[in-house]
Amino acid sequence: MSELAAGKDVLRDTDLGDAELSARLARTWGTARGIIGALSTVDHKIIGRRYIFTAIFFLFLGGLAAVAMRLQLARPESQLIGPDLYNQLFTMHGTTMMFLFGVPIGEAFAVYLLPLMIGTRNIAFPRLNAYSYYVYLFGGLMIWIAFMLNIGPDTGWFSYVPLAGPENSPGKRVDFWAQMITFTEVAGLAVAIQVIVTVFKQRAPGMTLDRIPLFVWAELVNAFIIVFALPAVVTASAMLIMDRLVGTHFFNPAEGGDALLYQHLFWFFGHPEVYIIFIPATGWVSAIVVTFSRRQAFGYLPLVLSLIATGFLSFGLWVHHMFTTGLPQLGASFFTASSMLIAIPNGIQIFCWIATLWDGRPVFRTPLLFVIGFFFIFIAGGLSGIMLASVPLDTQVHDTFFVVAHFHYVLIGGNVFPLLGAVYYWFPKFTGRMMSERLGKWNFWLAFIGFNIAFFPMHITGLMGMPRRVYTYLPEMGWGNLNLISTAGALILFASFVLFLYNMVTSARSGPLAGDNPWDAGTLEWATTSPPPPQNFDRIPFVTNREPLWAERETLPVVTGLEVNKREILVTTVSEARADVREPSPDPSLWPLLAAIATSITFVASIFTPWAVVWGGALVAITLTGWFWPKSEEDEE
Amino acid sequence: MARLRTGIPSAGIFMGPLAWLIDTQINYALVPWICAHQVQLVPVVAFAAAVVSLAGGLLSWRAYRMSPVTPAPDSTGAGRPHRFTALIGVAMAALFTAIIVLHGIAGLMFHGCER
Repeated sequence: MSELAAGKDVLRDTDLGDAELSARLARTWGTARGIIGALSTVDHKIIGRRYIFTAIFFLFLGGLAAVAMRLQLARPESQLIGPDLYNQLFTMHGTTMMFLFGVPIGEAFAVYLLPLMIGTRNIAFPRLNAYSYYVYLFGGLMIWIAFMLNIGPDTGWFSYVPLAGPENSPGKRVDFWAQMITFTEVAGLAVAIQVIVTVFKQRAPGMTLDRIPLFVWAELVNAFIIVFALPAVVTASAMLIMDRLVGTHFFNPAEGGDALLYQHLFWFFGHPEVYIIFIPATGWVSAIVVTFSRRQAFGYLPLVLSLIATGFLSFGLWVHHMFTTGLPQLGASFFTASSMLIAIPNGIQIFCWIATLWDGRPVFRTPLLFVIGFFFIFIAGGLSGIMLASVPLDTQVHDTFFVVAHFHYVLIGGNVFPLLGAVYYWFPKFTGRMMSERLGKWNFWLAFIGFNIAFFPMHITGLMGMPRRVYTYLPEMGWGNLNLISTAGALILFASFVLFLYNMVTSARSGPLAGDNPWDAGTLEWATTSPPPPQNFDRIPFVTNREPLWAERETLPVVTGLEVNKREILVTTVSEARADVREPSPDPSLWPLLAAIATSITFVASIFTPWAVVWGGALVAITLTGWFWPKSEEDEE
Repeated sequence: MARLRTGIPSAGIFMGPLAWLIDTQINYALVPWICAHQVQLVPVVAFAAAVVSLAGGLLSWRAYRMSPVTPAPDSTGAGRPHRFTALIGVAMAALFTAIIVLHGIAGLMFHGCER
């Protein structure tokens, strides 16, 4: 560090007054105007905002697919949608919600908020961050364009073989699904690595492991789950596409392959996926509960313990998705045991949140209402989950609407309700304006009532024997009335999202100004302006408490010494967050976009010819060479 | 050896889940063999895994006992990350030992051939 400072005309943050420092840092860390500036930005806030917007856009697309399906099922023998389109719709709905919304939305919030919450100026590997966003966007667009061209996948969001194999699904539909997996998983893994490095190495001095905000813990655990889970599904989809395109027989029993191997690989990812969707939401819930209870989290240690335990346990439950495949009961029992006991860490979390509210002075603003809704819905989903962990009951209701009801209670309750709360909570930080409370309350009640009207009856239709993924049913089955109620609920739920969108758009344009900390929250993102400046903080905060803004109400202590005219971040130690070294942070660049385009061309072309992997690899190599080309001596310093 | 005496704060965080994952994998792979030979190996494997998990918890507990009580915690009880990590290690080891024990009990109740 001393070498850097010695003998150079280096301008540091100690040399300037507040106003000039802020202006100069904004120039150093800012994004250039114009289309080139927009496409080359590496600002985590801009990329995070795009990530959040894109994920919510896909949420709406997935929601529209659901509404179409519900309209078709509203009455028996409906001819609104034919079986082929229905197959594509439920596949696109599940695929979009799981891969294009569920995984990215948690990471999207991390990309925007994490550096602010831990007191640093950018996320680690900011160019990789830009690359990951473009890859995610192109993958999502690819599969939706394929759907619009009537070549959307039609074999369910998990594309089981042998249905998805070359014998039973000729054409390109499944290939688009498999390649979309590659797109989204590359993006997801990149962000996960960024999150891990950012949390471990870029925390503000003083933010020891036991002072990390619970939101950050959740994102950290989530990132580790992603790193270990996603390779399994990439492997599965790559083997599937090789079976389909180059004639391998990984999953073809007739040639010595194993169809069940696909399920094992898929669910080794698929069950942790549930927690990849849920765990970031626990971070949102913790942040909202603490702020609106006006007290620190009850049971910080058990809450962190629960996150870590859930992260590990999520890798030992996958076989409970395969209970009806004829596995030995003894083998299945191990997964029943683990499935039952994951209720312990999850239960601890719920108790800690309730205790925080119980012992605090809760203020029931819209974000907290969505959290309360989450408690009711998620716990109901958890209870039906414990039922499904039992092999006999699971066997009975397997592939029925009971399972559909269960996982929508878990996923919408466990992710979408907290998400809506999180948007209401952080919208002032994103935009500088408050969302309408009146519309927010309408939004909540419409969503809560609509959701329960839509999904509660599905438990009963499932117990009555209605299978999933059927495009219609006979009137004699007696499922008509319950399906009509579910459709009415789905429409109310969708209306709540339209209201949510309207609230966001109108509030962003003309909502009341928010100020830096409208909720009087305690974490660091509220220490800076709303929206934050390009440099996030003029001086890096020094953390003395889990809720630094509550502990240091007058002036937040800061550390100084970072350079002003170059992008520089402070690297700290893993456990105690002691200031360690100053590190340059990359400037904006177009190379991540070019690399993402090259990657996308390779992935899409390889659907049509395996040789695309060869020449596409060269194309990607060229862009990566440009990306990593040695910098000038000055930059290298 | 010194680390065994002074403990390792994060030992329980890694050894508990690792023992459980290995226990799950070994026992799951052993099922056809158990069915064929009717030798109840599951409780044996579970016992070994439980010992490993508990050892991790013990190392974390030792680290907790040996870690300095300074600096004084802040108003939220934070600021001592080694003690924090060690306590999480103890709890993780306890939780995963419980799950491993359940696996072992399953091995006493099934003979491995049930479908």
